Amino acid sequence: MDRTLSRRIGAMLIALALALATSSVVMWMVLSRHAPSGSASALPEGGDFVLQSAAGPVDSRAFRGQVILLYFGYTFCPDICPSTLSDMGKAIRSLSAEEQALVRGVFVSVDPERDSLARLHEYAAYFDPRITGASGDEQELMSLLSRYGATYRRVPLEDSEGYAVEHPGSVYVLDARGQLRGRITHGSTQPEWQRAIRGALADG
Amino acid sequence: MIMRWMSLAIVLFTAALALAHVQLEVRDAYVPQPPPGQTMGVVFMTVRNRTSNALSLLGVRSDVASKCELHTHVHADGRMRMEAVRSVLLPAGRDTEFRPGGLHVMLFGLKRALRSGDQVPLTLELSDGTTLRAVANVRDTRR
Repeated sequence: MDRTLSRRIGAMLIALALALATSSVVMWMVLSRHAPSGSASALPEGGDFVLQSAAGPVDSRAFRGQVILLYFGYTFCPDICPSTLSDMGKAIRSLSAEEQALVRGVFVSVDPERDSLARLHEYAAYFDPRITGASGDEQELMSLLSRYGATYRRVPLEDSEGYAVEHPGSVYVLDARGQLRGRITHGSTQPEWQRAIRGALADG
Repeated sequence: MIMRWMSLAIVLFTAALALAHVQLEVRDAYVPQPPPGQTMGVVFMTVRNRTSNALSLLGVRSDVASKCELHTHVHADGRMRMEAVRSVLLPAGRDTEFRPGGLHVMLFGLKRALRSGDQVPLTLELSDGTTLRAVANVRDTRR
């Protein structure tokens, strides 16, 4: 009897521990997904950049007073980049006219070999005219991405012609002072986009 | 009278044929309208395998593209990249989702510009040797 009881208690304790572990993992996942954009301690340093666009140099310091949505990708990217840029365009257009004037997107190609500046302009503007297509040379891109805690690399495609580029999945949100405020992960909902953008607008 | 029986037979026969195809169902197939100048596209869809056997999707054909491939996304260290897969398992009685950030069908070498409202014919090649026809609607995902 004692033995059965202690076994039962043991089993209950294990079940309790498992439940606690599971719920804390779930909590952590939920919290990290919905963390306010300003959880600055975990964010990389970010910072300013100067890149090239079809309309001339793109200097992030020229956008002080505006929130920048910074995204790294490439135009041959079939799925993630178009869906992220679609979401970005939709999010910008969902804001009030005053807010829209204070937000701009910068789409940085990590595939400058295939993406000409003219092509980048055409591509980015398709999603919203407030999204600028820009790029730089490999060294500039590498150092910029590393400041944002990211990297990119070419991956040969086994069956297809050419190559794919592995790139960060998130959009970086810079406030009106050019400070990195947070990230918007791929697949975020429109309310999550709006919250992140408005949070950065309020911070700046 | 004979005519009536014959027409009933035809109706039943057609229904049986249709049922054979209902075993595998493609829903909500769409192609996001590619940006101008884009020579590739992507198909998203839901495939429901109503049979009690697992099937595999081995490939897709479409006359709008010079080549179609099955792809998935690999997420690693905050990076994403796409990767070709040889086949996609369609478990019995379940939906298999092809959606942004996951499985998708790549359309390489688009032969014409795809505009919102266009229809893209697809032929799915299955591991049991059968094929299934479906249509994907081109959709402007900016809206």
